Amino acid sequence: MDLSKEARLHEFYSRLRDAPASGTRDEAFRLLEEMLNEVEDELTAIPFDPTNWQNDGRLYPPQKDSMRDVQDHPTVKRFRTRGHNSFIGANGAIEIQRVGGAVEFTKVGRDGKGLWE
Amino acid sequence: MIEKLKESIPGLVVVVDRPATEQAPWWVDLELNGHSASIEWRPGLGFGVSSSDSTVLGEGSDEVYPDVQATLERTTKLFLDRERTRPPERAALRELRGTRKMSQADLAERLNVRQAAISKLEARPNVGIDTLRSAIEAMGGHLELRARFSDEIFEIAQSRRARPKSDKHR
Repeated sequence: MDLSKEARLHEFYSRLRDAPASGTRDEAFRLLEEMLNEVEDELTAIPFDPTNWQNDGRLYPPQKDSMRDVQDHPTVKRFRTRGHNSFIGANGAIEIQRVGGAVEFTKVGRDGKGLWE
Repeated sequence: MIEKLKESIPGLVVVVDRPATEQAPWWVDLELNGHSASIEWRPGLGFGVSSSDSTVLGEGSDEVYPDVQATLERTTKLFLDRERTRPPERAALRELRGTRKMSQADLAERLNVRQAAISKLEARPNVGIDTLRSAIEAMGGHLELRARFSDEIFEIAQSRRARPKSDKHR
């Protein structure tokens, strides 16, 4: 039986936290993407279907075309998904927030700094 | 669409989250008296509508509509009736029949076959489209076929039904 989506998300955040910090935005984006796909491949039987944007029970990483600028923070980009914003800095720092601002996850970049420093 | 939503739902708070490029997904976040929903517009593909108590990172939109009118109607209903969206459920034939509270014998009678045939049908990993359509129509439903590509979705025109066996060698 599949783990619940909440349990899989918890595992994803745990692995993301333990992974080495990224040094660039691209590296951080790839880390987020590969880590979530890896967790889903292991912990759910729902196949990966990137053409499917309707809820099929599987969790998908943000897509590059969802990128937006962040006002007053030119080194930070925001990737919008349902109910969430994933912020990634040029230094590889990551912050995932629920729409509305509640922070779910943070990780500093390889330079030891967060997004907003 | 935004103006029509505001007209239909007085007091609705609407926030449009536009993408960096026009063809990328847009988001519209809606809130009224603690009830919230979001609309995801994918140009060329349609509108995703979601309204649930909690959302986990990475979930797609619960319900997808092809056009503005259908999206408006559904979103208005979500707020006026304080409803929540639900994602589609994956179901095998047996489970579908269960949701209709129908026994194998009931379905067999409607299809004019023996119960054993229904049992075999439900155990098969692959089912022909005509057979699937007949079973779902006998349950009171309608089968829709869609082809989904990364940039477009097509409704597949209903395929011709297979000729009866007696016609095969004409």
